Amino acid sequence: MSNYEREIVVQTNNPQAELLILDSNFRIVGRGISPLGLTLPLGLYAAKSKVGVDESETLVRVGQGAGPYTIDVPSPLFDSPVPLSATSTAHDNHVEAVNNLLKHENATLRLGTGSEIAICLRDPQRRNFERNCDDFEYASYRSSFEGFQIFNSHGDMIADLSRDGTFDILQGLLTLTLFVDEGAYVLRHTRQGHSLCLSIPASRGWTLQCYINLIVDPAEMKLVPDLTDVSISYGMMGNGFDPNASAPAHLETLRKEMLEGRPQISTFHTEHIFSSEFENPMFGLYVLQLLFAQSSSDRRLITRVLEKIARLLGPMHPDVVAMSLHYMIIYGSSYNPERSTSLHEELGLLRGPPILMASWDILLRAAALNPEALDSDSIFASPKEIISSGLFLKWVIFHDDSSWNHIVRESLDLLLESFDSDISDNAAVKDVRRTFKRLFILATDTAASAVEVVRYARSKDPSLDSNGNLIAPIATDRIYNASDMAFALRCVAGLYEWAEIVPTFRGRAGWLRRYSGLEGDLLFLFRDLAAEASAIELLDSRYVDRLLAARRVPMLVLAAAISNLDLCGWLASKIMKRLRQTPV
Amino acid sequence: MDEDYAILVGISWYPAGNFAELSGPLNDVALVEKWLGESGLLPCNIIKITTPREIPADFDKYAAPPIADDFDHVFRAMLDRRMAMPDRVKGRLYLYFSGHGFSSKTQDRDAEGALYCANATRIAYEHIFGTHYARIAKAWALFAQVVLIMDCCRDSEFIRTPTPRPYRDTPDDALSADVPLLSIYAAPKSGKAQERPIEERGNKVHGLLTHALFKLLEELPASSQRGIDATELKARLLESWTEISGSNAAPRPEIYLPANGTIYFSTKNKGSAVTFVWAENAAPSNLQLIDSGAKIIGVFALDDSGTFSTTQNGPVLSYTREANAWTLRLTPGLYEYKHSDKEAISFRVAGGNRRVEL
Repeated sequence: MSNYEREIVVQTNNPQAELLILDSNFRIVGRGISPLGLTLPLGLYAAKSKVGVDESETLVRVGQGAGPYTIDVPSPLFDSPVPLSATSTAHDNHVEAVNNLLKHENATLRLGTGSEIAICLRDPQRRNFERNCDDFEYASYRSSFEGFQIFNSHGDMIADLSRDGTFDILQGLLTLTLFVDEGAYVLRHTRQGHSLCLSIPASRGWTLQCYINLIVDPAEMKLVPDLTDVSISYGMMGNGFDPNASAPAHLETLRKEMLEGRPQISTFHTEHIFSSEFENPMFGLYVLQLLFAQSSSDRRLITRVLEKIARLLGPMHPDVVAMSLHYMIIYGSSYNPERSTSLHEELGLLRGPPILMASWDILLRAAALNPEALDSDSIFASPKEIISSGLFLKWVIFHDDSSWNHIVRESLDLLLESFDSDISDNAAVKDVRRTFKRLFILATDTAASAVEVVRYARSKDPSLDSNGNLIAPIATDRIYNASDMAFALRCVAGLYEWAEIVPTFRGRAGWLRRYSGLEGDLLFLFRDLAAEASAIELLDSRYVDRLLAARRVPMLVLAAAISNLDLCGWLASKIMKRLRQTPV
Repeated sequence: MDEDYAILVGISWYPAGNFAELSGPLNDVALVEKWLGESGLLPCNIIKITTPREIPADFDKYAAPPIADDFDHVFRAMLDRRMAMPDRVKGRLYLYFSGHGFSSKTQDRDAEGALYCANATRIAYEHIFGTHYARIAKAWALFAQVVLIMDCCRDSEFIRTPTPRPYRDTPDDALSADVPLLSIYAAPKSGKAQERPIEERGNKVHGLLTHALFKLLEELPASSQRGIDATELKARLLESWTEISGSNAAPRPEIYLPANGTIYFSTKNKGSAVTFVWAENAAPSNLQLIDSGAKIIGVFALDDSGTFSTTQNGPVLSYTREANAWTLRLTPGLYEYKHSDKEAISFRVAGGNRRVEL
């Protein structure tokens, strides 16, 4: 070391925060975790401590002197739905409420035994309604917390947070704790006609904790749940909440780092997992995910972490199954000699979707290697619209309305009868026109009805199936690969007059809402491709692969989407054709 | 620059979906167009697809312009023209988007961005998948370089996945391997305004990313004779972001550097402004500016004399004095100032129009 250099040690109070040293031209000259030691030329530097996107900075002059120069950079307080001391969004009252939430005696509902689910929805910018609170303001504020429900694996709603939870308007807090049996559960948030779902599997001996912050939506100028920054974790049942504990702070720091980047696994992480005080399996799942993502990871380390997480959460936990499958795909054997090495058997352990998006991707890969897993009863049939942003698997449910179906069937009976009637008869013409109009309005009110109409029509008149239309061929069990799928896409795109059909319902939100985002996008794509016949040929197997990768859904879901569009295209075409033939 | 080409998209109204109207996109497009023109781009090579200045009284809101096909047709026409050229791999393509949009960023994939079309609704979110088009431009080697800038505000609706349009297979000529793609995305989060009035632009509303990016291209020095390279620009933009954003700081943009080669931008090296203000009734004193190497790079009298000295070709690029304030333009970086015999204080210059009360 010359007279123009000096050893420095940079440290911060969060052991997982990333440290950066920048020179006077803002070039990074050092990075790592605390304590970070390096030798630098004398001069001005910016030392940063980063957690996710949040950072703090200290400017220093490294001058001549004896011994290492120590630079302390306080770790930044970061946004989090968990009211930890290390965050910028904690309040004492929220801390106390969460502590109460996580104590046995305060469970709101007792629907089973052995496991808990705790939900905490809070407004970190809480309003104070003690003064000047009118009914309208109260109702408006309260509505920001509404729409959350918990469902079991059979699809039954078991808790409604608005009804069963504890709402504290003064503190801007809605909480709920459930005693439940171990198993698959789903948290749904319904807003603007669709539900967003998160998997919240309960595991024996653990409290699954789900924290969600409300943030301001500038488009609507109201508070909405921030579902991209949800925190899901497990804590030992009945342990309460300590905002100063290091374990949840480590977990949240790692989550934020993963949400905003791709942190490297350090010895800190692995030492933490194998330390005696380790008590959060979610940390282990994060680390496993990162270890799998690093090509240089040590197999023995992965095995140890996986064994520990499986021991904590149980071998049937969907994320454990996913990680186990990944292990099998990579190494060709199970991490546990007593566990099956069959992908099919391992997939058969699944009782619900996983928590992590990464686990979902693994399951998709495993299912692609084992197509028998993709039956309509599997977990793969349920999430039709995957939201790939963020760490956690999220999917959307678009509502249908089966109550329309019987009305549609009545109309359809009239329609089918009219096919055989003499439409030169004035009364019959009027009847047919009236029927068509009614049917068309109904069909354009709900896609589910449209599908029902066509299914019913086909059942009444089987000959309609033999005309080259693709309703039967698009049955999902006939699609074996991307080429089949591409063929089906091209057929449906070319079979109907989408450029005329789509504009008829383009403005009907109630109708479009019944479609998944994938189906809606395909509709618009078909409409746009209709302008150039040769463009349909571009829907090839590579396009299907890209579409599936972008949507993160199995072929099963795309096939169902194409089938639905085919049904509706058929129906709309028939109606439009008859309307054209019928004298005005 | 004759070979460079730009498609600029600015959408500010959404009559079908009732999204909040934006004031920035048309200003942003004008700003980018001006910069491109000053950089030598031929006006005929700049295609603008924007919200009409005059909104027709009678229109179908579900076909309100611009729609996705408006962009796709321009892009396909360009693709056809380029593919017909015997030596198409030259020049640079700029794809610029401003308006409401949505993005998708996951653990295993880089961010992808889409701009809502004017006829988008919350249910029928018709969009232009900017990232997809940039990837096609690269994969087909339509130009020698591709620059994608997406300054899109995102609302709280994140249940969106951009859908790619089908294009023919990439030509099997391996030319794309040498085409660098630089992608720059605003990375907004609900509650943080991404467009705002910008004082130094006459209080016109601009997207924050557009303002910051083109402000820095005015202020930064070149990193080589060819200008500032993408790596340096990224570092500077990220470092300057909080200062330029001010108190309501939006999340930093996402910038993806080319995997191969680099891209240079011309800069004007005007320096970033720092204003030092002293009390009107203070006794005369001096202000010293010190660089990283502890060298004094300027001395300014804090009195009515207006005297000063600076090192030749140093980082003090210009200076103005008004009453009891010196406004200096410095090359962005870390410095110290020393007021009279007080201790030196470190400060950063990074595009934020910093004001220091002495």
